[in-house]
Amino acid sequence: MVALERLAAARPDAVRELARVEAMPIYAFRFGSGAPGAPVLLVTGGVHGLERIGTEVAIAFLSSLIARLGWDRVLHDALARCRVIVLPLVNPVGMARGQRANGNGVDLMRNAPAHELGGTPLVGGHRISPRLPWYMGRPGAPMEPEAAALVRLVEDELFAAPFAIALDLHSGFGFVDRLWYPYARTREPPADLPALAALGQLLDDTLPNHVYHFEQTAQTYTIRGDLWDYLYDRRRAAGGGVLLPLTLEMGSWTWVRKNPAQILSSLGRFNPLKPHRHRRTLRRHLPLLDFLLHATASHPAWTPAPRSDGPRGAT
Amino acid sequence: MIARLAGLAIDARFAIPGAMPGALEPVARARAARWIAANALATRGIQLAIEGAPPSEPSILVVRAASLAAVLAAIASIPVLVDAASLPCRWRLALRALGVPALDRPAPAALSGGASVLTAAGRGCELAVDRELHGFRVRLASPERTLPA
Repeated sequence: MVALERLAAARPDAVRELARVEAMPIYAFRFGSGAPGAPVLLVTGGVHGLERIGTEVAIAFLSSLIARLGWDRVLHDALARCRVIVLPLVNPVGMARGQRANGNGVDLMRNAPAHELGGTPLVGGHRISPRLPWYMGRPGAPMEPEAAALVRLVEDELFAAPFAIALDLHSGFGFVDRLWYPYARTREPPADLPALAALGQLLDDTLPNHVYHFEQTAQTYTIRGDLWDYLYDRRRAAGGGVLLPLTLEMGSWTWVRKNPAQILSSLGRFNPLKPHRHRRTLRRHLPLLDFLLHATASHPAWTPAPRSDGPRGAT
Repeated sequence: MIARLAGLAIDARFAIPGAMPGALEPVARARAARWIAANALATRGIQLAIEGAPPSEPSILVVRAASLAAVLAAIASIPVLVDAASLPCRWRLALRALGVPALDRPAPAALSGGASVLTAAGRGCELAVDRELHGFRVRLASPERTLPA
């Protein structure tokens, strides 16, 4: 939070307070073209309060961006053609309290209006009790203020854009870093699968030795009320543009395998605790973020033409 | 692959009310069947293309399928309850293992409950499933090709 306040003070022209929850602000930083038709890259972190590394990676990217804006003409050229928005901490109360959920015990990534089908038991979202993790909130209740703030930001900034990529930073699952694409609630292919496949191929070609497994979220487990499923469907229904929501799930089990003692701490299961490993993680994902920025700015060069006869999307 | 199919079977049994045995609404069971079949195909990377519009009213649909995957493609194309008794025993067992809800009452009762019924025998609206390079193309019959039920 201190690092965020420092960045907000350094770039008051770029920062916007989206909401305030229990007196804690949710900041978004905005750089680049202000044209409504400009493509947009959105980077978010800290949806789950325990996954501090996601927020730290977003802040590392933000700091790098601000530093480069002082001298990097190539970056200025890219930002003349697109817009970058960084929302490093979606759930400030959860992070302050050291818990996954927000202040009301709701898992923000299971808080969108839920589809009737899908959802692995418990982990995929439940309405049993806010004392258990993965709680979706009361049936029929409005979205939590943090989730609503994120939805508003996406609607305001990304829905008007002809093309947008959103990268949400998480940790806590698996031994490898995964890049997940929709859907989370079903294994059925999204309608934009050709564009997602093209992005995956572009990543393979551009960063040949990258570490990411590019796969669908639901291949691992299905989630009800996933915010990105909800926003993806809303964007598809609105028409006139493409939104490719991605989730970077950092493989935190590797950190636990290398330092088994950290499994005893709740933060240790989700974050690298050793200083050298922490620094390595902060620099590890900067090439990916840089790649996504350039892919967003240059999207007409690699996105496939829309097909009328493609695989059927989920209903 | 086996782990993913097992995960799907768990999702089907615990997360979908329509997949639970008992007297649940036929429409909910049919939607659950479509979801499970579509997920089973997607897990195996099989693509599905659909031609034609589904019948406006609950109907008996007849599928001529050469494989279990083709039956799954038919189920994934439209919410239906499968008349498992019309399928070969191996396919029936596989559908049960996946957790696909089957017809649990006489077909007329399911139809009056709002769900269409899929069968491999008898007469009804024809539903053709053709193999393609990466998956299946399901063609829902136009009204003039519809046979009387």
